[in-house]
Amino acid sequence: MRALQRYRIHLGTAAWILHRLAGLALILYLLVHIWVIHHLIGGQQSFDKIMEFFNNPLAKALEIGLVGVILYHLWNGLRVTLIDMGVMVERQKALFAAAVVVWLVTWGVVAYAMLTKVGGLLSALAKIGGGGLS
Amino acid sequence: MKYRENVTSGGAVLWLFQRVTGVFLAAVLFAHVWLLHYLLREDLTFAAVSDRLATPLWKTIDITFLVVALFHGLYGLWIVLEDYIHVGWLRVLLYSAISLVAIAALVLGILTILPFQGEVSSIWQ
Repeated sequence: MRALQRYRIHLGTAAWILHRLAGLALILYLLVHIWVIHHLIGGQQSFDKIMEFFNNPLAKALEIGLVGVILYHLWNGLRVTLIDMGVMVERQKALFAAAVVVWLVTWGVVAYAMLTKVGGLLSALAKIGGGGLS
Repeated sequence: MKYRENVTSGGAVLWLFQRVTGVFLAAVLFAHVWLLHYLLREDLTFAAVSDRLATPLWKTIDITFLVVALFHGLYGLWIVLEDYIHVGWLRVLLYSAISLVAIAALVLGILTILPFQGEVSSIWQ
């Protein structure tokens, strides 16, 4: 906590804390991901069964959230790397704004693609909705 | 910022390595998510995956990806814990736990990726 007290809470600090939280979420995801995919060792039945488990709207919605976390960590990480290399140090605010814009735009594009894809979230929800109506 | 402090002592190389692996992961992870979580998402069957992993190139890419992602993620976790844990024995305990998780995940991942071989359909060639 001493490390935190040295900084006033400003945008850079918030970005730094978010970077760590996103990183923690991603390493947890990676370990679970390796465990899920290791079902390949058990052959076709074992793998197709566990993948079927993730073929539902909730899993697809969470996947869009995962992409957001990845893209935040990715773009903020590149921003920090540029500053460490001495690039745009004089224009940190502009760089920060650019990172946020690029993060939200790329997340938006990927989320839109995942939502509207055939078999994606919206068509999966429509299938459930249609099943309920008929 | 905080990151600068890691430049002192032997942490410098690891600190640089964390940046380099980060840039590598940005590119490979983007391709991985696009291909597997988007393009193939609904067709991600055992047949499709084993077909792809039977090619030496994809096998190499995925094992490299696994090693780099685990290193970047678990070393990152260690950097975070180091900032909050100041008790000596607890640090040793956590460091050992992270190392064990790293080895276990690495072995499990490699055992998953390595066995695939045989005929490969043309799209992956």
